[in-house]
Formats: sequence, structure tokens, C-alpha cells
Amino acid sequence: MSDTMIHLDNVSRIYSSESVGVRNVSLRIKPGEFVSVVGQSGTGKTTLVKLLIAEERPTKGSISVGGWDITRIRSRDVSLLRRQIGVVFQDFKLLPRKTVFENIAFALEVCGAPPRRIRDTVPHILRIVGLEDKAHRYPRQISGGEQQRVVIARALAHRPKILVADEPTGNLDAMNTRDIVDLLLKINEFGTTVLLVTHNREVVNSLRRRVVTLDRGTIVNDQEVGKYVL
Amino acid sequence: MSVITTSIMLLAFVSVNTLLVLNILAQTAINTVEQRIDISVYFKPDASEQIVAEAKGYLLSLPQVRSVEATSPEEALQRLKARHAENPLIAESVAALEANPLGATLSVKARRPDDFPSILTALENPTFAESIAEKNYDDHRLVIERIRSIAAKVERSAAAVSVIFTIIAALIVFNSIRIAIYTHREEIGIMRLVGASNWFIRTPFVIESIFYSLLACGLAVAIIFPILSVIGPSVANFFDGTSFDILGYFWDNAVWIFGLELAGAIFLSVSASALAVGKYLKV
Repeated sequence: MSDTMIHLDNVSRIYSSESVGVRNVSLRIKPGEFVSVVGQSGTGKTTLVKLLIAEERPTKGSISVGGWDITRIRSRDVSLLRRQIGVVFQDFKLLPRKTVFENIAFALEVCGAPPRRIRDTVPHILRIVGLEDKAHRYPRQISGGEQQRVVIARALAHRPKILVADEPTGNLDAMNTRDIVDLLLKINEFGTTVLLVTHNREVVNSLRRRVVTLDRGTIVNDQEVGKYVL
Repeated sequence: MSVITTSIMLLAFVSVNTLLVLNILAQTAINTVEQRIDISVYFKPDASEQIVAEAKGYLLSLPQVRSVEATSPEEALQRLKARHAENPLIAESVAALEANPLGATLSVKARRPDDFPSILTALENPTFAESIAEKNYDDHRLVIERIRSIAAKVERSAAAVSVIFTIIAALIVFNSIRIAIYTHREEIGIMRLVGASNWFIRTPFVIESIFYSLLACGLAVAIIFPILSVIGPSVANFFDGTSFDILGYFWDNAVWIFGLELAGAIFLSVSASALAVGKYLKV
């Protein structure tokens, strides 16, 4: 097994001379690590996430995920990459006309999973995120924290090697925030590499895990047991 | 939007089939006129049966000749009497004749209208040319050319209408798929996020366009056959003397006609939707 799960080598994403996503970012994340990427709005955190899931391609440098060089990944291979990286966003992105169960099952259906596997997998994931009793509720019938749990459950459907959470607590109150962070830690304990992108100081400081700080598109701090320093 | 798409595709189907009907009618009209053209070769009354038979044999040996029908002097006289049976003056005049004044007749049909001049030349053969009293040939080429000219103009108009409807149908399919992609953008975004393959995302839109083609083709069949059963008798009467059944023609060739049209429609709509998917669905 490789000792690097995510490797960014001198990566830049430049939109125009005035607009830079990230510049000369080099980052190496080991399998099973829990890394927080922090920084103020517009510092390139979301660009980093987009580069990792191949929604954007780097202007220069190289990116590899699990030993797979995705720098110039072909369009038809992006789906394979995204089955290895679970993604959680601040705005949930749940389908309102599908139940909690169906939203999670959807992630498996679109990848051609057989119905039997879906029937077995979804209840198991619902137990992990603590929503087994809300499987048949619609997103509007559950709280924001629970919706974010559904999103995490959906991201776990493919048993990804990496879970990328981009501001997962941005829309949540303190109690739900704590629940989501605890859930991410629990997932990390199972061996999944977690990349938490946030600007929530309390969350980062309470984790006592590796913290990578971005400022104006560049890494200005990378501490093994870090704090929110900006 | 799907109603508009199906309707325009239906119009394209109907106009293409109208073009087909016009084409068939024009060809039938030309064939009917061509079949009625013949050269009547009137032999002198004293021409022997052997000469007439030789002439018939010679004509049948020509590649341009499709058929030769011989009428003996006696048959010719009987036909004359029958034709003028209600005219006492002619009947009396014929009865007063001591000998049959009519000679044998050959009715010659050519394979193509253009063959008649060469057949007329062939009749100059000295073996029997002296025995021929008269050759009667009505040049119908002008009529055929006029039919062809009118048919070509009507077909050109129908073809233009078909092309216009086909282009509109393709554009509407393109637009329908574009709107469908926009409507489902949230779902598509989530599909992409959770690792759906490009084909998994694209296929429903392509299938949707195939469904439009199938529906429009089905509706076209449901509309065209009743119309043909209504206009069929009028068309049959128009070609008096020729048994022509436009409805029967469509029944017999339905698989080919609608199969090819459906294949064309599917090709067109799949191409249009693939174009829309490629342009608006960045997967």
C-alpha cells in the first residue's frame, strides 16, 4: 500500500491574471489521515476540492489520488475517481422528491449496483450515520444536521478511500456541528482519509489533528497537530 | 415541450409520406399513359395472312417491342359492325359491301415511349412494307413529359416542405433535450458527484429522443392509413382502367416505408439529442 493517499505537486489553478484559485500548492496526505484545510473565504479551499474531484483541471503541477495521476484525467474516467472520493457540501445537494433511503440508494443506482446490494448496503450506512429510523422521511421532513448526515451517508455508499467535506457545518447550529464532526471522526476511525475544508475555528481547534492553512491560494501553514491560526 | 416535439415530428412524417404518395401517383400516371401508347399497323385488304404473320414475328423479335396483337380482317369487320350497330346508315353501307374492305391490323406496344420511332423505321422492311396501308401513331411523349414536369414540380415542393419540417423537428428535439437537461440539472449534478458514468447520464436523454420518434411514427401510421382509405377510391377512379390501390400499396410495404422513415427519424433525433447533450451536458 502506498504511503500517500493524496499528492499535490506544485499545483496551480489560475483563472486569469487577476483571479487565482491556488498557486504552487504542494501537499501530501497519508492514508487514514484526518486533515483540516482552513482559510478565509476566497483563499482557494473550494478550488482545492474541485481539483481533487476533477471538476477542474490544474493549470500546472500534478495531482494523484491513491497513486492514480488525475492531472489530465479523461472525462470518461472522472466517474471512477468520484466513486473513490465521497464528497460532502455545505448545501447538502439532496434530491427533495426522494426519501432518505432513496437518496442514498441513488448513489449506488447511478453506478449500476444491483438491487440486492442496494438493499443490503443502505440500511448498514444508515446505522453508521444514526438515521435508521428516518429512512423513509423526505429531506424537508428532517433537520439540517440530519440532512447533512444523509449526505455523508450517500458519500459513504461506495466505501470511498477519501471523504472530502467542504464546509459541511456551514449551515448547522453548534449542536449539529458537533454531531457532524463526531461522525467524520468515526468514519476516519474506520480507515477513511478525511479532508475537512472549513473556516470554523472552534471545530478545527477541538479536533487536534493536522491543519493546512491556505491564504490567497497558497499554503502558509501545515501543522501535524494544528490550530486555526489566521 | 414533448407535445410540440412530437407534433413537429408527426408533421415531418406526414409530409414525407405525402411526398411518397405523390411520387407513386406520378409514376402510376406515367405508366398508365405509356401502356396506352401503341402503333396501329393497317395492312392492305389483299395482304396475305403469311405476310401479316411474318410482320408480327419480325416485330416480336425486336427488343424494343413489348407485345404485338393481331386483328384479322374478319375480326376488324365484326368490331366495326359492333361499334356502329346503332347507326343504321353505316350498318346498311357495310351490309351492302360485297367484300371485306378491311385488312388485318397489328397493334404494337413498345417497352419505352422512346422506342416508337425505331419501331416505325423497322416497319419500312421491304418484306412487308408494300403490304402496309397505313401506320397510325399518336405521339404521347408530350403528354408524358408534361406529367413528368408537373410531378417533378409537385415533388420538389413536397420535398422542400419535408426538408423544412425535418430541420424544424431536429431543432425542436435539440431544444427539448436542452430544456430537459436544464430541468434536471440538479439531479445531473448529483449524479456526477456520486460517480455516475457519462453514458448513464446521457442515455435517458437519447432514449427520450427515440421515444419522440416512435410516438410520432405511431401517430403518423394512425393518421395516414385512414386518410389513404378515404382518398383510395378517388385515386383508383382517376386511373380508370388500371387497378391501382394506394392503400394496398401502403399495407404491402408498410414495414419498409415506416421502418425506413422511423430509422431516419431515430437517426436524426439521436444525432440532435447527442449534439445537445454534448453541448449542454458537461459530464
